[in-house]
Amino acid sequence: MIAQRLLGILEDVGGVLGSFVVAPEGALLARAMPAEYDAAKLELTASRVARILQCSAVNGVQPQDGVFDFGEGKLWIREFLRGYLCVLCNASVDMRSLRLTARLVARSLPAEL
Amino acid sequence: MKPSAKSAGHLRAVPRQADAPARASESPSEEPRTSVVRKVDPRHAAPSQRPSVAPSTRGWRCLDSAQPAARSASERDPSISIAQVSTNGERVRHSGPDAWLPDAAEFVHRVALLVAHDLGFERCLSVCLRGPTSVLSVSDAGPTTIMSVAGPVAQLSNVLRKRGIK
Repeated sequence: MIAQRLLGILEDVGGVLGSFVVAPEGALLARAMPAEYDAAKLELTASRVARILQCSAVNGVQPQDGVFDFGEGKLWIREFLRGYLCVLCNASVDMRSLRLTARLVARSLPAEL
Repeated sequence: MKPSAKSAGHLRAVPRQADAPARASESPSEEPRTSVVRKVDPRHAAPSQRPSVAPSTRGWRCLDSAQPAARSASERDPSISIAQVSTNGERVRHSGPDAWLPDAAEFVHRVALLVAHDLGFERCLSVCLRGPTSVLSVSDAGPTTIMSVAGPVAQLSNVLRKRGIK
């Protein structure tokens, strides 16, 4: 419940479409995404995101922040205690506001989700 | 007296607009018909000259250039690795200390494309990841080419700024 409420804060940033939380091993821990992204599909996405982050980590770049640029949208990633906070947003999002809010939310996410 | 091409050796002045229709038939080994040019052979260049000689297409260098051509990031800083791979995993170019970069770039690009499709997008233009001390960036450089860069955070701050991480 706390996690859901915290993820909801991110939607106050203009351009944010939704967010989800991924464990380092790829499990989907929490989500606040639009209805068109069903849970099964999002679990697969979460595992793929985790694989990319693992690939980076084993080669010496332990990701703390990351951006996937899709042209019309972005997936912003922030590391936290239990995994990674992933924020889906459109291309016009204010990255500075997103960075600040996402860091605050990531820091506040509880250790147990 | 008519100056002969032979007397000029490797240094020739060529009219800028001359021979325009003939360019299409130029072979890659022929000199570019643009300006005063010199054939550059790095094996025979003086050691003091080598760093300032920017490699250009076909091995020719323009002598009119007011300033030397910018060197690549890997030439500036040996801690930066750059890899260019094709989408089917072939290594096109690689420089720098990180031998893992071409394989990692191909993997990251392939999985990032799947993530893009999962989330309703057609393609993934770039992935940029920042660690405490180092950065990995993988981006599309054409329909079949992937460019990737890895190196220390301080040296790649421009990449982080461009991607909106910094």
